[in-house]
Amino acid sequence: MSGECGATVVEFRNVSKRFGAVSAVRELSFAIERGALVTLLGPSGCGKTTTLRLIAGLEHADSGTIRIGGRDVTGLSATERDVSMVFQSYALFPHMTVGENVAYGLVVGGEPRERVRAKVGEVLAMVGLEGFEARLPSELSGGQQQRVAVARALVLEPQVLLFDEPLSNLDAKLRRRVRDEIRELQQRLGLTTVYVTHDQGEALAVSDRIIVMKNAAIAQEGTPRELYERPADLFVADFIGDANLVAAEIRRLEGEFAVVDVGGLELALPHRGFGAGPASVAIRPEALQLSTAAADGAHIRGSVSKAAYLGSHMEYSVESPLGSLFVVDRSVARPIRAGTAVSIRLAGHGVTLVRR
Amino acid sequence: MTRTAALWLAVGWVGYALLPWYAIDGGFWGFDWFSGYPAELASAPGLLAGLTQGRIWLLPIALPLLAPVLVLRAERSDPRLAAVLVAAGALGFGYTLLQGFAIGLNGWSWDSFEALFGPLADRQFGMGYGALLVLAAFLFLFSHGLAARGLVGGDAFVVGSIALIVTLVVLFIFWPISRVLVSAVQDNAGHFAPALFLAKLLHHSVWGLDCFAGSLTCGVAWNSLVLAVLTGLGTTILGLAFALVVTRTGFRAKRTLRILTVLPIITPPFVIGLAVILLFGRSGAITTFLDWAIGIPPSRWVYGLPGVWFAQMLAFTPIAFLVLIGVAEGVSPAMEEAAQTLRADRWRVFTTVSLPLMRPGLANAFLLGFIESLADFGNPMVLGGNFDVLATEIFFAIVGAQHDQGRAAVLSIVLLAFTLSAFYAQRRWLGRRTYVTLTGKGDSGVHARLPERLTWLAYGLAVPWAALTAVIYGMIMFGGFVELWGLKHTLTLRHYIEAFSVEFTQHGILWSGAAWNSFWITLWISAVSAPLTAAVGMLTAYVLVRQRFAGKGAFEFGTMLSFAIPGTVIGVSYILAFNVPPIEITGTGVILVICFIFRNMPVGLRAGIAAMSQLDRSLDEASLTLGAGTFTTVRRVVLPLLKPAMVAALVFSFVRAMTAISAVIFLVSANYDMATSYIIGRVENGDFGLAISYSSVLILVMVVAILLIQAFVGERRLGRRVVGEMSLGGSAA
Ligand SMILES: Nc1ncnc2c1ncn2[C@@H]1O[C@H](COP(=O)(O)OP(=O)(O)O)[C@@H](O)[C@H]1O
Ligand SMILES: [Mg+2]
Repeated sequence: MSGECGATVVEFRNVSKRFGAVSAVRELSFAIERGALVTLLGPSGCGKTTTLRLIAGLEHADSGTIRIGGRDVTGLSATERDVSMVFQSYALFPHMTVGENVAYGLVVGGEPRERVRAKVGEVLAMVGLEGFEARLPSELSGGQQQRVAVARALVLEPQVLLFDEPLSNLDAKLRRRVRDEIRELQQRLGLTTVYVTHDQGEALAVSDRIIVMKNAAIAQEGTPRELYERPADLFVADFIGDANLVAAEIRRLEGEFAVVDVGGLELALPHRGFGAGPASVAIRPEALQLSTAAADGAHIRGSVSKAAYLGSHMEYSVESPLGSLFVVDRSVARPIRAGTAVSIRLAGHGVTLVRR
Repeated sequence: MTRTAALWLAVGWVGYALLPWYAIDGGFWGFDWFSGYPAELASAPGLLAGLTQGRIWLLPIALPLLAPVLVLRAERSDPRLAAVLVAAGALGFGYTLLQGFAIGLNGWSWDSFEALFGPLADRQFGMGYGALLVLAAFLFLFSHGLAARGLVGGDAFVVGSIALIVTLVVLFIFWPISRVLVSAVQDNAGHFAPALFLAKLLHHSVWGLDCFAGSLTCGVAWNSLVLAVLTGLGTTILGLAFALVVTRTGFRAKRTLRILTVLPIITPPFVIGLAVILLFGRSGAITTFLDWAIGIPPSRWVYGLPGVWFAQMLAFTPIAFLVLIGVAEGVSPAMEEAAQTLRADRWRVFTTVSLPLMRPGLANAFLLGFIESLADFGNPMVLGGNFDVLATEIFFAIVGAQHDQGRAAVLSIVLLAFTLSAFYAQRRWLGRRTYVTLTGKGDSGVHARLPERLTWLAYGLAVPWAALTAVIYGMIMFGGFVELWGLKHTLTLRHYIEAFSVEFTQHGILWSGAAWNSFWITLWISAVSAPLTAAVGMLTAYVLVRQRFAGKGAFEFGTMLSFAIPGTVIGVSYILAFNVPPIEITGTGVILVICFIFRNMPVGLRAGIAAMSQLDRSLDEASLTLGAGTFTTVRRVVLPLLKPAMVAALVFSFVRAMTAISAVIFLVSANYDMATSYIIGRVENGDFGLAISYSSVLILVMVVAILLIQAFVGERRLGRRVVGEMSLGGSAA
């Protein structure tokens, strides 16, 4: 599972953490390479925050080892780890000014005052908040508070920067901008970053690599493209983008490929280690193509039961021998009305064999 | 080893090899020991006393102080370091305490040790600075060792705090109380005497029921119980009336009623009893008026159950009010509105929705009144007459002609059993429910008005009572200016001059008034104990709210326990536990300070817990991830944000130290007399004028102190919008 060594900054080996009867993290192993932004993605309660707090030293592992920068830090407290965190609530100290907040880590670390002032100015400029030193956090907008939190974490030049759902307190419009700012800053400074979110769109947009978690364990990890195009199982397929799960039959293997029968259509899909026999395929909603004209070539017959106009695309529910299918169609100009009989075709992409 | 651990080791060596081991005669702040230092035993360091004065049992202490030196250079993660620190700390601490307890003023303290080691000619006194530092060093080395093993996330500050608090609570609450239990089953010569214990426990004077048969009095246990139930009921009903008037009627003078809640906090409890005498006593104002107007002859009815009950109702109703107003406001208006939309009339809304929802609060108010009444010492002392209660009986068993420690201990156990049962019931049954906030964000409705009949009933109870309270306080302020109450009503400053006169001589100011001595001591002791109490309370609150560790429930229960222990019992237990070595502090100011810290800590603890629960945990965590240690985090982030709670804790502990009487009366001495015990003494001599003028000065001083504390601690700075709210909250404290 673990990535290539050499430039590994954070490494988990069989880390477990329980809270009473609840297993928050179970036998977790992964590695994060220098300069990468790695996202922990998963539904609420799957253990993302706990994993992040284990890296920060705010929780302590029951078993397993955690290494940061090659050093075993399993037993070290948060104070002793070279890691900074941007909290979901920002956790700006309300009784200190912006300048005092950003300077905090340097001051308690005993840096000389001149250097503190210079660095605070530098970092505030980096996040676009020069001149805000004397303000109190309560006098800033949500987006500005967020940038102060980032500046406060950056000023210590930590080996790893942690974000826990940093966009969740911002309104929808601001989210995309802040997200891009974080990504831009991370790439410019080459920061090793771990980013927690439950929003798959956010994860796909910012990540070099995504670790999908489910029930306190890793479901799959890989680049955004790998996860979208080759999900390991239905959970990942469904969590990252939408997917229709359909029963299928693998007829035979031909080299890299498996010849699969999906409701009478024959497809060649990468076999991914499956053998001949009953199987499941995940079909992306945009991989299903509908047409009302009498079709030639291989297709399945179905009928549209619901149609919804969403501005940039149409969403359909289609009843078919494969079951009820969810379909996304970009051609909004020629909508199909509910009740219409259609023929369904499969595109060459967006269909994968998955574990059930 | 970390720098802090090394520092504690150094502290241990300073305590062992440099500072006087035994307590110095001049008291904790005395510095006249330099003359004989270090050769004389009285001021010799432990090491020297062991080597040259025959105190050889002090020498083994060197071993656990030497062992950590060997691992001075060990890495923090080295398991040997943890093992050495834990072992040295535990053994050193245990041995140092053991030798202190085992060898007292007459050689061996325990017969079994004498049998084992043979008789011992030498003796030793109470522990002093040296022993104190050595014990502290062992305790913190021990906790550094535990932290190095990864306990509580490896945080030495938190482990050390827990260890310190546990040690203090055991030493100053559990150990003294256990001494009471032990001495209850001993005769006065110190031998085990279970039969005597049973005889005293079941004695007629405790449980007798003669008052039903004839004119004789009942046993003290029954007296206390009946009084407590009556007071609990009375204060709950009155408190509810006040709370309803404030929250559910259009009554105008709500702010005035709120001021009532502050008064009993700054009033020494027996002062109310005093005022009751001035009003209703044989020569009281109202008694005289009734005699003159309608010919009711003066009688001594206030001296006994009715008077004590009356005074306690006056003193404790505000507490019930305080509890019930929170509850009455907490009932979600949405529920009352829901009932109204379901066509319930006002009467039905009140009886089927509002009242049932307040039930936990009512029970809580009752239990608080019950506990306060049982623990009250001042009012029965002033007004009791022949009506004895446990709290006063315990006092007279110790200081009176009987001088029967065993009886005092037995009565203490009975009283303790009552209060602890009530405390336990309160926690088991209601403790958690009182914290549930019934209002959610969407509750913008208004409370239903009371039904007509009830409104008038509530007014009828609350308004006369408030008027009476006002008269009582007027009495307290005015009574000090009257020559001789009931007999000679000319105005005079005589009492104030007698108490607080100041002469300007050529040698400077001469504080010639009779009250100055106890006044300055009281101020000094209160000023020392208030910040310590607040500190211990806040630290405990931090540990309880922010840390997870095994045994936290027991830890919390232990720290809250002293709340339920009546002051009289604490007083007895401190006398029993601390007038012999190794902790020999009776008759000093230290024992008063310690007593106040542990009696008042639960108040600071409550304030701290409430405030800290509202403080987002991620603030601490942000500070930790930015490289600040736990101590720095507490100092720079947590405490500044807890200023309102700090003010509350400081004010409360200061004021309670100034007004306390029940424990204090056992612990004062010629050198350390406190204002309250001085006043009680004057009351017993019938010198009401001076007593009451002194009391009003105390009340004024406390008001000034509250304002000063608020100004000194200041307000927290959270931005423009919030400051307005804060100052409002501050002025309510
Ligand atoms: N301090 C805690 N005490 C008890 N249970 C906790 C605590 N923190 C997290 N958990 C539990 O651990 C699981 C994982 O939580 P978390 O890591 O916060 O999930 P996520 O961030 O993915 O939503 C959840 O079931 C949660 O209830
Ligand atoms: Mg989370």
